[in-house]
Amino acid sequence: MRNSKYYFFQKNIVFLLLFVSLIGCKAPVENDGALKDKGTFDALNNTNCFEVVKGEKTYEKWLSDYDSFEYDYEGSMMTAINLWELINEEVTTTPENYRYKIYGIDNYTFGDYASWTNIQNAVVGIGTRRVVFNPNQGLDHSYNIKWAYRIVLSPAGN
Amino acid sequence: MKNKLFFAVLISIFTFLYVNCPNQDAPAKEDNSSVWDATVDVKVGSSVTEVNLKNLDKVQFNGMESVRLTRIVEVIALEKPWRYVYNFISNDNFDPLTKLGNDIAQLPVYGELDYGYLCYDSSDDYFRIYWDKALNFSGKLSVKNMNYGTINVIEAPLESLIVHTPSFRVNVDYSDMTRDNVVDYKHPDDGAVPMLSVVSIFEKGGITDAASCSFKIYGEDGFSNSDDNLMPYINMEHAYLKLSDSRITFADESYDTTACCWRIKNTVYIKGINAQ
Repeated sequence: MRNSKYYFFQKNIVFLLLFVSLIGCKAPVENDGALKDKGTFDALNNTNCFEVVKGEKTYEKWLSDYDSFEYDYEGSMMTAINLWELINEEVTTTPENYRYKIYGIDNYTFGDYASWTNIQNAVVGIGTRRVVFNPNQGLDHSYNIKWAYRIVLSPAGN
Repeated sequence: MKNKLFFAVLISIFTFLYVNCPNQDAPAKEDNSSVWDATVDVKVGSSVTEVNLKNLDKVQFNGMESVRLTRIVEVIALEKPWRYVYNFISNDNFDPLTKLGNDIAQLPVYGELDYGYLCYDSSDDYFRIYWDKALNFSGKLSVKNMNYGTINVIEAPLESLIVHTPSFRVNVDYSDMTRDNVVDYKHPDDGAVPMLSVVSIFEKGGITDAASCSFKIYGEDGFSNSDDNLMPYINMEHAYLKLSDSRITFADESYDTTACCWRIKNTVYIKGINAQ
């Protein structure tokens, strides 16, 4: 009787450990966006997508994940999110150590670089992906980008 | 005896699972991390910055672990990276620029570094630069032994620009060219100011295939016209380079674009793309 109980215990432990091992071998999640039912991530064509690029890594951001608000752009209201929120801790914990370029789907970008302070004072339009910098910063109007889809970080230097 | 056999089978199963579990964090390729603990100097004038390759992101190029050249140069955060061309001197002092007749136009501009790679060839245990074939660079730029080598950042001379078409790549010195006095239609109040017709710059450079191209124009700050707004040759025939700020301008508004924009200032690089 004692041996039978022991055998039953052993058998269940084996199944339990096998189950735990297989769960541990979890497959990588290849498209988190698909799981959220947002469709395939396609920054060039989907206006809900935005790429954040640092070095060789690309972080896929869905604009609908962020709180939007109404923003007054040259007298017209646009629905927008804060650009800086895309640069979260997953991307870097030291955003001030980088400088920034933003690209439109037509490959347009502004001359020079934007600083972290500039990025903290910019918005992205929902549905349009128009990037608008707060005019109080005195940046050239050419910094504003229509159909933006990518922001690239590179070291800001000393 | 049964118990011992049972545990032996159990241990075998778990060993098998452990070895074959697809661990996402495990390196997919062989571990070359120690060989990447090497440096490359980036030299601008008299200033030298030692860049360690160990912490830079790696990519695969032609099956080799590599660092994109942009990753190395961007560490020094040049203010105007398009103002320069980039030479690569090996640790045994092979200098491609001298082999290319000291013609700086044969060296890559900043945007082309994205398509250049410092590769570690594990079979022969050396570092070598390779370029995407589409750039059609000279083999002399495929520099071997670049670990502990130097990237020499060379400022392009003032009053010159690099013109790159399918058949030519020339740095044109326009400092001694005869100037025209032209009124920029956007600034008529300035009156006629010294300018050069851009096609005359092409002619000085000996470029004969410009008529078959549309053009992307880069300023020293990296600003350029967008890919879907390249300047056709017929417009380029009416374009001028204003000498006070090297800005592309027009006397006749009808040849300018209404989109943003062709009036690139501090022009350093004009790329002609076959218009087909």
